[in-house]
Amino acid sequence: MRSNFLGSCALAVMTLGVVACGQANETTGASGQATGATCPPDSELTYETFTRDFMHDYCTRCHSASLASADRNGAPNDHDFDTLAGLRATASAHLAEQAAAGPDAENSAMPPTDPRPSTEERRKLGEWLACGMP
Amino acid sequence: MAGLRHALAWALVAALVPLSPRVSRAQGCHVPQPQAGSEQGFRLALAQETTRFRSPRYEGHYQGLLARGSVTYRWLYAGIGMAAYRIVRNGLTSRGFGDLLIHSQARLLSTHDDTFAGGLVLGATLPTGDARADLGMGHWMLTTGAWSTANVKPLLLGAQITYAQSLTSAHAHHHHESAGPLVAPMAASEVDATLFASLPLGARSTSLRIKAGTNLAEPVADDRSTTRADAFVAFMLGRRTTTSVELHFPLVGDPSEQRLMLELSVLVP
Repeated sequence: MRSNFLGSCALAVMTLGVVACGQANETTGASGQATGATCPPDSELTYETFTRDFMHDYCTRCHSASLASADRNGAPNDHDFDTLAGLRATASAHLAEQAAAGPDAENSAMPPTDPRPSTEERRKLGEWLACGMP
Repeated sequence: MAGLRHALAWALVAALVPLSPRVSRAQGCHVPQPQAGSEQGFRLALAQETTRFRSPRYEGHYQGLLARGSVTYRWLYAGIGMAAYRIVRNGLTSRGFGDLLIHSQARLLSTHDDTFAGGLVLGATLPTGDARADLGMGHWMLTTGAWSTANVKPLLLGAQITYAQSLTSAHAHHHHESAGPLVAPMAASEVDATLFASLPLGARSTSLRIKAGTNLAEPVADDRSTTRADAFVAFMLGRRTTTSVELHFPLVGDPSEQRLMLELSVLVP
């Protein structure tokens, strides 16, 4: 009886492991770090000159209001980056912690799939966010 | 041979996980309903659950496999449970364990014939689930409360009321911008109440029972969470080896649609 009991316990643990430990479907980089990005007085980065193309190239394939929920690859329904208003509706700190870089750190959790921005592009995003998302 | 039968039965339940309809919700973080009767010994349970959900942030579904072990010795019942999940949120699949639940139930009052019984409940969840994937709370929770049963043959009535409190700030509770995990929605602090009635069906030898009731959860000092309520009906067959099918119907505030839970449990005296 005791061996049956222990055997059943072991089988239950193994079964849980099979369900929980599947193949990882994406890779994610660092997130949540303070980048130390600042806004230089002569910054020329605006939504029109930088961010719109950045979002189009790297973000709106998932973070778009035009996508159905099942096509968003995990992007929450309230994070749409098609427009400046949509970006401003999301906390800039959250954007910085997921995708921006600065002198202190580089956050690369987003996007989780290729194509991904270069470090220089992430630095520009950090600067744009530090400047108040103009 | 008995061990082989157990193994085959559990393997069958595991195989049902991807095949069953997506109509249930996890209860892995919530203290179970009062344990009726005077059963003594170890009980092992394996349950499968699936659901389709729709919250303000995500749509999708998940499948869960819950393993539970409990022991009843005289007036004390103690259990431990852990679930493993596969969740798909807005098209992205994640897998992982849920929060670990430890709970106990003490029978402190009872009449000589067990017509009426009551006692206290104490439980805790450990943050073993990934809160970012909506599989866990991300912090400890403590639960305490009271339960009571009335055996008015052939009807068994039960009630339980508990208070759950997170061991973190409300800000930390919501640091992932959601009001609790999708697999077992729970506020940072809330009052939970359960009422149920159970009735034997058919001949006594069949050991078939029907159980119906309702669950209510009311957030306390947590304005990001809302009242949740559901109704449920369950059919249970067997005594030592028990098979149950439980259907839940959301009434208010629950991101999940209809829920179905299948459970197989074995008593080891």
